[in-house]
Amino acid sequence: MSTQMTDQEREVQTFDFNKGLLIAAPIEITWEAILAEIGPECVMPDGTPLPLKLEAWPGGRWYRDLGNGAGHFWGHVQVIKPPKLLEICGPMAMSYPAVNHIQYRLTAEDKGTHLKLNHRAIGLIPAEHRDGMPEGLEFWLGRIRELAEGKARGKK
Amino acid sequence: MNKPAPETIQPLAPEGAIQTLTVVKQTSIDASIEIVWESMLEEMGPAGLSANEKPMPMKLEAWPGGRWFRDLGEREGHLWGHVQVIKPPKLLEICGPLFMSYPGVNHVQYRLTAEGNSTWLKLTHRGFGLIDPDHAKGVNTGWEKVVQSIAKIAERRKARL
Repeated sequence: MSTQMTDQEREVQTFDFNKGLLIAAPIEITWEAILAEIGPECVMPDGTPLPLKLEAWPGGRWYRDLGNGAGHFWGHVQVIKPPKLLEICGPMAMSYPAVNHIQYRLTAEDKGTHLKLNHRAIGLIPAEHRDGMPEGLEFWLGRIRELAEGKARGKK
Repeated sequence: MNKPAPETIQPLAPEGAIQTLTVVKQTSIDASIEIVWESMLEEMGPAGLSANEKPMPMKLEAWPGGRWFRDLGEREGHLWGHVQVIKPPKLLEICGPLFMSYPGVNHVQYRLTAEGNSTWLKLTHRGFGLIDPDHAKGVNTGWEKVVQSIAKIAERRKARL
């Protein structure tokens, strides 16, 4: 059985999301918040928990562990320099041919930490995925801010 | 190194567009295939050099799926790729992001062929992605230096025998 693909589905698409925000928390706490949000504290925009595992070393896996050998591989750690830089490359949640590169860059500032997220991808990305990704990434950025600022307030 | 090193590079596409990259470097090295293989592993590992020829030691886990990475200690570093094919002393293939901090797919192949007392080394790097134009230009020189470095290491190894 074969399924017909539309012209759009056959074309290699690109995706580029680039956003920075100031977080009222020290850089070390913001770093930990990122690891929490892309790890055990991860939730979907509808609030459903989506715990992931990150092996925080070069080449370490970022994946959804469903137990008993089941799961979803999202990527490998490409660059890691705590608490300033984390890059991940891999398929993410894309069950089609695609390459993603995600970069979290942190810079300490007087009033907290400037976090810049750049997520770029190429592949046979369906339009509905490409169009929906910014909302999910905005949500995750908001979660990182929430986790970091919450923890920073708790420490005062 | 008595034969010319042909090379091909695809013309650069506009910035932000998906580009392809092909670099081929090949040379004859006056050493046995086993020596050239070990020299290649040394160059890819502890004897690695940066673009400005400063020491840039890497680690290669020389088995299928093993990592090729820059180990900065305390779990910091840069992953360059994974071993895709390894057949000592003839063939090594790496796939991965290399130095590209953007979406890119790379395949690097080192193929060694014994020719009498010498070894023919052919290095092919192909890739595609949102390739930085500076990287597209720089890889040509970079791989040329790699091939030269492997030849020098092989000469040293041979002299030690």
